[in-house]
Amino acid sequence: MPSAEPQEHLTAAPRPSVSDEPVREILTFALNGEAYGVPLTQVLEILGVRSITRVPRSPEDVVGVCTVRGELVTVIDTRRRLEPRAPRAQNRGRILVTSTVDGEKVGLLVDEVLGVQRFSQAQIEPTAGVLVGDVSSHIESIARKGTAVTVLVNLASLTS
Amino acid sequence: MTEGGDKARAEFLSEAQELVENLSRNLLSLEQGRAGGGRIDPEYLNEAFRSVHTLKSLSGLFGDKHMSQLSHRLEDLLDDLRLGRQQLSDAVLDLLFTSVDVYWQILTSSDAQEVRGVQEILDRLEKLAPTAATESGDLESFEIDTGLLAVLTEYEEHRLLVSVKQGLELFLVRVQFELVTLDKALTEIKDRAKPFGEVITYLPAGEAASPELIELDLLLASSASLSEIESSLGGPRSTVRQIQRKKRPTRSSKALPRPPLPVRTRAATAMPQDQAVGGTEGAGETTAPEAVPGAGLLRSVSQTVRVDIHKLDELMNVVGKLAVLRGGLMELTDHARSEGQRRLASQLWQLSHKFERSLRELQSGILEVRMVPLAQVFERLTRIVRKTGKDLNKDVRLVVTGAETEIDKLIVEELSDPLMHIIRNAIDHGIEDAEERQRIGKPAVGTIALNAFQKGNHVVIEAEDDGRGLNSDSLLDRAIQLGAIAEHEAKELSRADALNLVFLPGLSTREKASAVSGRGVGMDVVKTNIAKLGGSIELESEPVIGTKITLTLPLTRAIVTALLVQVGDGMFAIPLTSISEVNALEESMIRVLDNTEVLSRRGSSLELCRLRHLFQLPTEGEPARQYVVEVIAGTRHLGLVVDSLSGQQDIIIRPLGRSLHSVRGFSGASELADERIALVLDPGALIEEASAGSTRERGGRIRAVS
Repeated sequence: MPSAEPQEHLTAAPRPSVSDEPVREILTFALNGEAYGVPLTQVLEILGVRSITRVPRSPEDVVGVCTVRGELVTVIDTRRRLEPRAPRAQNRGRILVTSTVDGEKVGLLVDEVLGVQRFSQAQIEPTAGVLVGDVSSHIESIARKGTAVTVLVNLASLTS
Repeated sequence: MTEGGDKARAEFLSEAQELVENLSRNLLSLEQGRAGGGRIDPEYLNEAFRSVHTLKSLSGLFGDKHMSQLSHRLEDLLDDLRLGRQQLSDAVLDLLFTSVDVYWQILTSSDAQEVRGVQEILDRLEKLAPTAATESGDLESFEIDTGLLAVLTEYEEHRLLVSVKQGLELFLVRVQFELVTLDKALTEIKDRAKPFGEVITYLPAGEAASPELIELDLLLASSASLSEIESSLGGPRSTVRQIQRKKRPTRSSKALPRPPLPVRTRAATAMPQDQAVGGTEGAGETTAPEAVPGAGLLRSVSQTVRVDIHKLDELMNVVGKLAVLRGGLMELTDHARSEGQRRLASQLWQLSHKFERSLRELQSGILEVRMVPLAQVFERLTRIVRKTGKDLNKDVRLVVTGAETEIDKLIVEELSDPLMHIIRNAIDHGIEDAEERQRIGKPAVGTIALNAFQKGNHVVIEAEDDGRGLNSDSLLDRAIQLGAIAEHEAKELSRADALNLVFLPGLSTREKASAVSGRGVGMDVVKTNIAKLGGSIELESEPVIGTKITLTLPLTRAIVTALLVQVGDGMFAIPLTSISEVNALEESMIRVLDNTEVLSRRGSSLELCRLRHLFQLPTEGEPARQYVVEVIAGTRHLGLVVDSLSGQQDIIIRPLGRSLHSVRGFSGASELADERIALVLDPGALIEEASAGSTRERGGRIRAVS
């Protein structure tokens, strides 16, 4: 099972890369005690708890809408989108704001932001064929560091 | 590509688009002039030539190979036409219109490689054999000064021959001008000459009385008599002389006598700007909506700024933020008042009112900039009608009224496809072929009337054809086939309900794709697209008489005044433009008909929709006193039952994200002045849903077909 230990802190200064090997910076977050990650460059900002307006008759994996500086953001229940049968999210935690290819702002409601992790390509393995069911379509790969496992999410797929 | 390059390219495309539109407009005017049998205003050809010429240099500058090649060839053709080296035949006109279509393809295609038909049109343009000009005006029958003839440019010579061929008389008008005001005075006199003739050329004549004066000879071709011209052009400083016809023409000649003569007295330019001011022909040719004289065009270009519509959206966002700030200011005012600081409160109050006034000015200013005439989209439709009619071998004319009606630029953009589809449908399925039309006593030429006008905060567009009308029986058959309704249910539907089946998904989609209407896009898509713009669509149809489709659209989507209502914990906004009245709900007036609550009032009845139920909100906390907001879409009404009313506000509607596209009943969301979010109700969709629901209750089950 992937673990959700707090890792490097968000504000930690980026360490100079020792080798020339390409390194991916991943923002990691916790969902139901498991660690997930998305590319740091794709997260526009992290919002604290705020009031989210529910939209009547909306799909179960949508929490609602909120505004960020006048822009409308659709907040997604990230866990439910990954696992359709998961319990509904409570309005707490953090919202990771990202932008879709169409330029639409989408917020991912997560339990907790863990920090930024740097992974070399060798530490990342694709999940093709490993996972089955609804989950796999949104999961891109798995990053390992020692025994800690971070599930890397495909944002394009998750937000569309 | 760099960001700067992208920006430059976007500007290039938008300028090119304007030029192509201008070309298209002038070609249409030419065609109309031809069809009317009247004389063709040479100015249309000149204007078309100018557009293509500019397109040529523009596309060369931006390295658009296709556009540059096409413009190059077209310029040659238009020049030939202008100079009478080529006859304006049907085939040529066709080729010109096809070129416009190819331009559009080039403009709208993201990938230069994708544009098809460029090579084909280039080949066709190249193969176009020059037809010898048939105008062999008998110039020699005039007592005309050969010295004058010798200095004519090719274009002027052509215009002179055309005029003579038309049997016009020639006059020489000698006018004295003051040098300082020459240009202005010359334009003025040409304008005055316009109603009855065409100024072919002008040349300096003789010697002026003083160095400040200059004397010009204007060669005028006209159908008016000498006295008529004298009375309108004559004056203390001018004399008019008719160029007499010779008693006996010596011989007829096809060529102009061109004695070798000295250098031209003024520069003969390749660009027809010179002639542009040279006036246009006769009466009855004033149909050009925007026949802008060259000079005016140049000036207006220099005073116009091209603005990306999204920049205006950003400005509108700032207006929204300012409105939130104003809300804060008002709150502060109340706060100061409640703390007993009356002086401060009154100062704050004044300030916030001034703030509000300026904010409104800013808002309406931005809105005004966004407004463009519908002519932009109507012109494209004229082209579609022309092409579709040709493809289907049907003679159809489009009669447009109200093209000057203005609407938000973004709405215009989105109107193009739905209107195109409606028009194509009308030609393909509505208008009968000429034979059938004559058999049933209709004029052979079918008519589609496109009529636009502003009605309050809405723009109404009616598209009416005089075709065969919709066949409600075959609509019912299709609906049964698709499983949308059962056979016994079909019998219960009124004609109006049956006609509305055309908007069901899959129903108006043809089994076989026709090249014209195509397959895949049905009336359901048209309806959805119109609804996305906050508009509604209605259809009336009479067998044999025709079909009328009415679109009702908001003036703008940028900002709307909305009534805020509360239902449960939720705040909802209803655009004021779709509200007809608001009343307290009298439970005693409610009757239940077929499981539907109906409010009877003043002899009519209003179907009710309890938003609390529709939105599955908890029933506890429902107030004893509720309100009915009556909303309209087209001609249909619905009473929305809400808990309470929370005042009006100008709101900016933001579309809901992709994850919420399947949610019915909302057109978007808006941040209110107090930073809360209100969901904006879509009355059209709610009415739709209610009527589908009540049809179901009555047993006429209409299932969604997809």
